[in-house]
Amino acid sequence: MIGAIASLAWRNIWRNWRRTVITSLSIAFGTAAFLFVQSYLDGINAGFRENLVNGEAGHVRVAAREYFRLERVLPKEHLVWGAAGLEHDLASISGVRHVTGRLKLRLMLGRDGRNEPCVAIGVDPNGEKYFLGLQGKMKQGRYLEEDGAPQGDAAQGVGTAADMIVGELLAVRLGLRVGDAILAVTSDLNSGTYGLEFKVKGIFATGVRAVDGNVLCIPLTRAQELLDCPGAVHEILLLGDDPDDAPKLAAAVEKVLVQRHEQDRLAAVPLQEHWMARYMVLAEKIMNIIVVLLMLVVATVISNTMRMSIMERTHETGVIQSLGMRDRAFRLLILNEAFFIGVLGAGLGCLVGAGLSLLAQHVGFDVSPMLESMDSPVPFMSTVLRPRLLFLFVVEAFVFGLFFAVVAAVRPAFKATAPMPAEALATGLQVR
Amino acid sequence: MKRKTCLLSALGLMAIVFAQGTESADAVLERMEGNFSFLTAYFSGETIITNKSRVATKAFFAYLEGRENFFLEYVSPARDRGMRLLRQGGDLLLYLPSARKVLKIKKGRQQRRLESDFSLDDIAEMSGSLRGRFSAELLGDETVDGRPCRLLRLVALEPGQTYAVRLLWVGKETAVSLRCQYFTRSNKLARELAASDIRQSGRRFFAGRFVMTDCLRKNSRTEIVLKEMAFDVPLPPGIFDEKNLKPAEAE
Repeated sequence: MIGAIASLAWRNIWRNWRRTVITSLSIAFGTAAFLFVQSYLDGINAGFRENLVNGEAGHVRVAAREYFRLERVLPKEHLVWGAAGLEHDLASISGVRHVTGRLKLRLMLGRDGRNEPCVAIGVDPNGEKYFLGLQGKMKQGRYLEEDGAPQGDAAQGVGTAADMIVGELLAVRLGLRVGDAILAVTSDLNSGTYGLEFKVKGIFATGVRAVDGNVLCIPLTRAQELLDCPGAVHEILLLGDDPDDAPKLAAAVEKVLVQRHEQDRLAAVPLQEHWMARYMVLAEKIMNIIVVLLMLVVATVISNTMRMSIMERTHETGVIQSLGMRDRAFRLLILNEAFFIGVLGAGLGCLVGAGLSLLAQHVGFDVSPMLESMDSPVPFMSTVLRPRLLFLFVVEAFVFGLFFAVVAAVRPAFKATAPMPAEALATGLQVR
Repeated sequence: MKRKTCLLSALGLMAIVFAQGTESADAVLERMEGNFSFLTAYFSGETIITNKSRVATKAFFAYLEGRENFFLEYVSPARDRGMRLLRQGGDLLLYLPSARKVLKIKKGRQQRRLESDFSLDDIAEMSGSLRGRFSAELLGDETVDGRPCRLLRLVALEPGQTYAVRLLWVGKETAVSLRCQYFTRSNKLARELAASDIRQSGRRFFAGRFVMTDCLRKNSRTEIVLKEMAFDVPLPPGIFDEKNLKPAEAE
């Protein structure tokens, strides 16, 4: 019987194809909007998270406890000494994919009478490929290469220019081009003034204004020379297999610190405990509320269209019932029709929504004009926002569209069988 | 007639006492800056920088010419040896032996600390005049380390000054600034400078020891101990010439 009803329902929806198309389009619109917004919000969130993981937090970060406390002012004196040995031990932890050390310092750059303060990150060029990944973000010139030997001999004042890669916006402010020389000065650990000459090897663009406008990278050994802290780093970053497992990884790192008797001075902090990650939890909740509100709006649109589509067929209901179709079978027929329209609408919506998301993912939304009007750059926010389309979202959107199409038909199906066939025939609401 | 003379004498005496008690703030500043009225000067000494448990000692010598020109060179430790600082007008020039280059630091970028608790501004203005840049108000008399002082409140006339407000304790006898408190725009005490080891050279008084304490950081202070001081001495030729800042061997 179900097969016969399904067959009848399929034929029924094409008897008035205009109505079916309009109803399906309404469902398609709702489903596409749901899918696009879902992938857009997820894309923003994923972008923030990626920038946070790669740019600052890793999955787990190891640093001096005091460094974590004073991190925002870049306290130069709270270091991880003998970093190479610790990095070796951390790399041997199960589940650790990559380890790298960083040294962060404030520099004053000077060139042709122009001065610009900036933040320098001393990096291991190879290790950093898995974190900042600047090798793939070079707009001009080339990425850093390994540079082992210290540059200068302070006693003799001997040295050759080391390489440096600079953020695009910082380069613009200083009028820097690839190959230019620039002087960088800092206050070292002993409150001495120390400077080195660097050569711009490349200019990178991460799309994060806070980075592109204020950050440059130099080889770790040169940063250690500037601060006068050979072999030390400020932080060691670890990447595991899954960011969600970061707390477990941090616990394993703590065990290594205990073995090395460094647990009192150093700490391992998982991604989830980063201040930005905490904001992101709140942001995710807000985004979820936005999605739920959107779902309500879309559900209302779908329900209303379905209800109108069924209620206008009261006359037709009377005809079918007078031919002897029972109420239960008739309700099943209506629900089957709703199911087919739902499949068509939700399917079309998924196609359109996925297409739009993929297009936007490829092109991106440039929000730099909006960000430029802000007083200070939003940390970890890219200037180009891209949706992130997941297959899961497509399935969710399809189920969502189909579910509301069918659910919206339940009440009208019962209502349509309520009047007597004669009453229904008298309505004259048949539309062809 | 006798009575009239006595009355006038008493009034005159009162006027003198009153005038001394209400010496204007500008007059106090003028007397203080009078100690710096030299054509040239030479100093050598040590800077002892304490930052928590770290203590760094750096030896230097410096030349001054009037209030505008200032030259300083570090002679130790090895890492800092040969670093030179030259103030010319508003700009500061740093010669960095590690890079063999000169960095020019524009006015407005000099608030940055390069020497522990002293910023470049602090160094640059040690011989500079406060009058004209600050409005001064006499708050009263106080004692610092047993020395009677005039307490002045200086308020920056231009917004670009490193510190918006300063409290200055100027010794009554020596006209040396014995203590100075530096306040931020939000009226927060940022740093405090204490001077001691007061010495005399001719009519001039000057401090031989300065201690700058950063009130916003724990256990952070910088001490400058002057070992040699000589006024109106002949200067090495071209010492304030930008071209000579870079040593010939670095060319």
